[in-house]
Amino acid sequence: MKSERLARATLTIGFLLISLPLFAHHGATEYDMTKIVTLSATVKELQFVNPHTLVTFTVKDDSGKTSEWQGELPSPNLLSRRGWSRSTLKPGDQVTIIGAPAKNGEKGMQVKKLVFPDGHELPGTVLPPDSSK
Amino acid sequence: MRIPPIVSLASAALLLFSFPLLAQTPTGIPKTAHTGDLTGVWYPSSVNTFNFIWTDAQGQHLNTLPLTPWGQEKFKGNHPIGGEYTALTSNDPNSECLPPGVPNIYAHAYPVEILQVQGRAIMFFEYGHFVRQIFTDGREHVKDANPTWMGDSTGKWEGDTLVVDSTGFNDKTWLDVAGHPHSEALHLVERMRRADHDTLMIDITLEDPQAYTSILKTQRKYILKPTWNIMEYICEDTRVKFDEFEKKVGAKGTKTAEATVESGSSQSIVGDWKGTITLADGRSLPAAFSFSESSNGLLTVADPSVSMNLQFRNVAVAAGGIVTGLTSDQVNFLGKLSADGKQITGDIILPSGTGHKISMSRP
Repeated sequence: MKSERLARATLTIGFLLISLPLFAHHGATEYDMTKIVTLSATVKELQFVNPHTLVTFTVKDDSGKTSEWQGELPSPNLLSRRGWSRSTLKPGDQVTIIGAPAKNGEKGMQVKKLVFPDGHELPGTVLPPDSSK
Repeated sequence: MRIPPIVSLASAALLLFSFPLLAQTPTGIPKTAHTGDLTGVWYPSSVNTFNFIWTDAQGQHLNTLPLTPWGQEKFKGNHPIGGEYTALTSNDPNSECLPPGVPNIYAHAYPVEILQVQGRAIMFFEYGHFVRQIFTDGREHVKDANPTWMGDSTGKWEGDTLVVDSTGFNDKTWLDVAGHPHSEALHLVERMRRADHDTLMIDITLEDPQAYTSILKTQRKYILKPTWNIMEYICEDTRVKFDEFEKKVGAKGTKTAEATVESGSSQSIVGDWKGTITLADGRSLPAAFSFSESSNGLLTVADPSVSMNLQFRNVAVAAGGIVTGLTSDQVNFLGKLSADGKQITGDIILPSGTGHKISMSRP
């Protein structure tokens, strides 16, 4: 398990983050790219299905109130080649989710990156660089 | 006249390989010599831009395409995603899971497998699982072809370059994700070659006198992925109710974005940092990052070949040492401070579609 995580972490280091829209169907216009939100998330569900991946999670604010967020991600095909699998995020998992929030104030985001409690990261809406081959 | 270096390089390489290798069959029908090998799974290079960079025949960059009045009329009716149109309001035919046509298919960040069998080269695109057959057996285009989404393609080898000639397209697809139209008169010539073993270059030249007053050129670069295979991709799969999510985040809202940022960390990154930046094209250069008390950060690259000064604002260190910042031009910095506070690693994400990686430490 540990070696798998290490492998994933090593894989991540090789990636440059690119902000290309990765699916023609869903551009980035819904998101406020002038903002970054960093959320301590408790995963509720990962829907790892083509053509789009959707993660649902809860976030506790400073007053202890819990709210539900959703984040969009590229397709499972693209994510699986970047170290993801359908069990990357399981219900109850704690993870830091970084992304661009919806412009309209809804609790939705385009996920750019995940940071796990042990420090390893996984890229979200990104494109592997030529140098990652 | 400014010629993008990649185009001039390509032209030089094309000159080197432009000798035809046509063999004659006993019947006198020219049979193309099978001299090149483009087989493999290829992934779009990170230097490709989502929107194509179009040039004229001389390689001069075109800011606006030379549309005919017919083309202008069509273009007005196309509403690509971006600007005022979202996935919900755009009329991009891609949204309906229909084939994107060529060259639009090259805009999508999915791999393509090229297979060469007797008399054919086959492009098997992961995106939508669309298949394109390129007949290399010397045949002519289908006469009076009923127009199709992916067109009628014939190919001949010129040395190790496969020259693909395509006609017979319907006019239901867009040339690119910017919504540029084309007519059924679209005639496409693609020169596909390995610039080196791991690099596939596709030089695209098209003419469409109904839509454009002159020819257009663009180029795509692909990287060989020897261990990959084409995976299943079903565009029509609606198990994830993505439309509902899209309606939620895409609806015109009156609320202001709730920036639920984590409470800050006590770790300070103020001061000077030195290290390297690895550009999207793989070059590694010395760079410096300087953070001020007022949450600003200046990233400079100390190399004469690259002019880069990025002024980040709202630089914040969140719990777990996650460092974020933004420039006024929407360049993102997503970094991480090591537990001992001595190292910052992270990613610089440009809105143009290129990104870089940095690694910094206190001098």
